[in-house]
Amino acid sequence: MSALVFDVSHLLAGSLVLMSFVLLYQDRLPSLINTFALQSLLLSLAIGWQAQAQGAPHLLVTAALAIVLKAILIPMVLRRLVRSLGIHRTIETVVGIGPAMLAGMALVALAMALMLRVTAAANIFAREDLAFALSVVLLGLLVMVTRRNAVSQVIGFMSLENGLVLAATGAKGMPMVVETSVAFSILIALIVIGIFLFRIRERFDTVDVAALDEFRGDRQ
Amino acid sequence: MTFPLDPALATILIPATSAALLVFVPFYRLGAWFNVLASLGTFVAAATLLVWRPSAGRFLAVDDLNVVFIVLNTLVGFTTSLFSSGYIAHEIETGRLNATYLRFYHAMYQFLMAAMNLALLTSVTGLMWVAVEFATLTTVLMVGIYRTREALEAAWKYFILGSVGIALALFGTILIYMAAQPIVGEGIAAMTWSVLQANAVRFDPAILNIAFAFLMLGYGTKAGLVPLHALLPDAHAEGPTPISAVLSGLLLNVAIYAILRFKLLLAANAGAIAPGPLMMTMGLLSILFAAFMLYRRRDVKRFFAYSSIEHMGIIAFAFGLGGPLANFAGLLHMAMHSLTKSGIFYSIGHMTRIKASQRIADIRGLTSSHPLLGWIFVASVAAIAGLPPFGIFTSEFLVVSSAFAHRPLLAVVLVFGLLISL
Repeated sequence: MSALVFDVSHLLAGSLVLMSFVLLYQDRLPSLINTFALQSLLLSLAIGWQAQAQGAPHLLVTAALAIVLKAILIPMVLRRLVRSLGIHRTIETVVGIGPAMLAGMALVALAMALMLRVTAAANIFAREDLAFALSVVLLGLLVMVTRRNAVSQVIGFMSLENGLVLAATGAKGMPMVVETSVAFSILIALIVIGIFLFRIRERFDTVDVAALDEFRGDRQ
Repeated sequence: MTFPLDPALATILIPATSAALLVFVPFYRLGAWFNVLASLGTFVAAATLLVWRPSAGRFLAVDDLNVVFIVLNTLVGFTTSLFSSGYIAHEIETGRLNATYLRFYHAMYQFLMAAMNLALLTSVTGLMWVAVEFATLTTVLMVGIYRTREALEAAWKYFILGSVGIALALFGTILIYMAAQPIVGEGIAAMTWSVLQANAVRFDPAILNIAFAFLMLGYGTKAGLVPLHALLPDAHAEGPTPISAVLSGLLLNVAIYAILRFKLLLAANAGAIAPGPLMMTMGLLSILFAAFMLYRRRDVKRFFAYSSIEHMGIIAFAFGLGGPLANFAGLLHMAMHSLTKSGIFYSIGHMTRIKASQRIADIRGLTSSHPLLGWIFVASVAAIAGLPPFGIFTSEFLVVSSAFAHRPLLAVVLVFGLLISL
């Protein structure tokens, strides 16, 4: 493989991790959604690059799915949702930015140390991708636990899923990648429909029913 | 002996096509009967696998392990569909569900069966993950079907925790592929159980270790092992009772099956950590935790959800212990638990209908007002608590005795947990 091919894939995967960090310190929902859209766009570029580098055109389906669904459609729906719920101006901070960033760095360091050591024998392409992917997964989990709002939790989950797709496409010649990403997209679409229909604002870490908005809106 | 259709394929295709057809059945009685018939057909197809086993295909393979799971799965699926046809008639009368929701309910029921059967029969790790994912989705929709606040909350909780769980499981699945790829080459072979099992000796143990950690966390969430159990009690308490029976009796088994398969891979590799102790620890934790939680329950379905966590703990412990006797005890316990627990949920369905309440305090005097139901329930509770002469006593006894033979200290903890939960 040429140095350029490797460098570009490294750059794209690295910028996914960067976007995860940006997600960590967004305290307004619209900017959080925009950052997620940008991350998904970068993901589809990364997948497209892998498809070309590995000579695996079926990966382009996954790339197209990422761009249409996660970079355009879902952010659009979420933006509308956030505006209609009237929470587009609220600032949510559960953990301060400083501690969250430090925790994020620690997680990335953990992912690097773990993956690079473990996969010493593997193809260098897959190795780097896997380390970056695990970082994105862990940062996504961190976003989920540091947020209270259901929308931002879902965004955390979707960015976690971006990391998984990156890992799956990085593993050379892995079958079922497309099937997996389709299955995941259905899951995500349903989650988004779920919050849209039931107007869930808060996560349910308590049994407090006040956490749920009035579920029967004007219509039913 | 030849069959026009491969029975392994049939156990997946029958529920899958029925699910598609049931969407278009407008009358709920017809739908319920169709549901029963499809479940019966699936069970017959699965039972055929006992006597006639098709050769392994590209995506499906039947072996000695999953044939037990699939027959159990389809049997309980069939009995639950019988119970459900009586249950939903009542739901229509009280207006908790309307005809549209029921159409949806029946279709989802068959879809869930198809997903679980696929997860059990497939020979490809990736396909198993996809199947478990669809099973999760269906469960979420079913749990939330009453549209009450509590049901929605339970569904949402299941959704978020279950999704994170399966996401981690996917990462583990990818890692297993990465471990296999240098040895067996690219493509579908590196995801097929039989190939993986045959070559596991030469896999890089370090990757296998990490992969198992992710898989254990991921599928462990689905199996409800402590400390990953938070999603189970709500989901059991708020969904329709037939679904509680399916969740408790079947879906947990599917997750245990997934863990067991990956455990076998690690056990074949000498360099990898022994997966047994991890499973035994989580199993023991589940038993102890659930045993103490059982005392403070007021909701009868929630009570039995904790009981399911306890029994999953026993099963995980038995499989973690390993060895022919403990493995047999684990399988036996799983079968007994599925049958007994689904029976309990059927009785609960009738009881909550009679008493119009799920609170344990409200349910009393049944042995005098409805003697048959009352005594059946008493017997099945005795069975699930592990009293002789019922099956669970036998399997628990086997687990305990093999634990004493191999790990006497752990056996003391195990017996303590079992006694507390009595």
